Amino acid sequence: MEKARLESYLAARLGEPLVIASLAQAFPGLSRETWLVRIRGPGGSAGGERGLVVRVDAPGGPFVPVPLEFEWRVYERLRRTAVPVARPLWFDAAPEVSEGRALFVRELVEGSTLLTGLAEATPAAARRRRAVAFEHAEKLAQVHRVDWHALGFDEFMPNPGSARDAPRRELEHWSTIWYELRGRAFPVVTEALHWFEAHVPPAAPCVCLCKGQNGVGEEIWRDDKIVALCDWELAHLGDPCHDLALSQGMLKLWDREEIIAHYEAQAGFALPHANLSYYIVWNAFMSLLVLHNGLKPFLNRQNLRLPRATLGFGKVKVYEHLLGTILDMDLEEAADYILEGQPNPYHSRKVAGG
Amino acid sequence: MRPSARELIEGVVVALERDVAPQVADRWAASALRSAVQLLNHLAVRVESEAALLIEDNADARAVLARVAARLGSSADSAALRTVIDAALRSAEPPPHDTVRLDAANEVLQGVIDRVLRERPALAEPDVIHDELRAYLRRRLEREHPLCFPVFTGAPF
Repeated sequence: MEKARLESYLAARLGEPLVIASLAQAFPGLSRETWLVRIRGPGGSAGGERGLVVRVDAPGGPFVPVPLEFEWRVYERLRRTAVPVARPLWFDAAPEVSEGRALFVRELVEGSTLLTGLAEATPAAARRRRAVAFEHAEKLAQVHRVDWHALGFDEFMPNPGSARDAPRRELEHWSTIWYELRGRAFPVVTEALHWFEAHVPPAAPCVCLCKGQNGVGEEIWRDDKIVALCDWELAHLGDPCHDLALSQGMLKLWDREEIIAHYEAQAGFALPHANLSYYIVWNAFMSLLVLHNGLKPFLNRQNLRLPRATLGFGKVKVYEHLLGTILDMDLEEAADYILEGQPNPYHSRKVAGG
Repeated sequence: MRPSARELIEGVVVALERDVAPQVADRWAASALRSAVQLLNHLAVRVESEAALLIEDNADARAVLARVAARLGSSADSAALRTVIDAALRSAEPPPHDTVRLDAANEVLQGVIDRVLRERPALAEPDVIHDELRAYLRRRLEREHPLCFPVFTGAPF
């Protein structure tokens, strides 16, 4: 994003003269660009500096087939709760500053998405891993306790109706989206969807606001505490087990049963083991769907960043093979198989999904 | 021709990893380079095996669809499916050097197989058809495996 144009845009929107002291794009910004902006008001003194985050659709569109305005609405409503999120400022559907790509602006929360030193083989690092896993579980439980109906989340999110219907509704919802967006036939995925139909849990423990993507790399941390939960593009109303299963290796940070017990004590309800297993496998399908959607702008030359191909084609092939392998497995075997291929969040090398 | 396409691609990968990567300090450039190397490693395998793989897979898919067609019942649903299968089986197989058309033919066959899988519950002898298609999908994944593993299991960016 061009600095001078962004400066004019922000000044106009904020209704005050300002200068941009620094502008940096967060890495890797493949699905949506995240720009970290530090601005100074009149006089330009460093003391009056404040931070903004500008989140913009990538050229050709995001990986996740969900409009940016959806995520904006999540922020807007969560700001009225005790859930830690950055203060949203405004949404702009097609501004000139981003060549017509949707953007929204929120305040910058100081912290980091990375937890340096968490991987170290020391007793202190091990204690940190436990504390981080518990902190994450507590924040997820806090999200899951949100009164989503009172806050109007069901005004823009599909409402599954009941805990009994939630898992099947989610399967139907994303199956429909998959068949609409896929660029070609994927018989293995069609078979995998039959597998999910045969293994879908009979009920969720309750219907919650679920965060979607979550874990170490998704949230803003400070002193090993989550100060802001970010990335709400896959938020939905559904089975809370989905979030635990999608926590990108958080359940590997410490003893899994201990983490889940801690979560359950915070949330006030128990998580059925079979539901967790189901969503661990389901997330392989969701990853495939999202990554495949991200390939489209590469194929139509709107976005030629190479990870669009390594993820949208290469990783999709990996997930296709994973799903092909689980077709003859029962639920627990399949969940163990998928978990084996997932990275630990404190390992630097990512294995599948990026 | 020597060097072959594969040898050229592998040479480019060596040069990028040995001579270029250590000099790239910029995070974004280094990421683009990692992605490029991954895609080149995929191409090094694909350039020599793609045509053979498509020819084998198309022949396999055609044989499977012919056996499926023979087992379809006489309901209205089956009639519509039989028409689609017959059309796919009647189309001529592209020449073996033309990977673009072989791939297009493969996509058509995959589309038909996908449709049979989606409509399977309503067909006569669904389990026999299912076993036939499952076995085909396993063979297809096995054929594709060298194109994707271990190449795409590394860092994608």
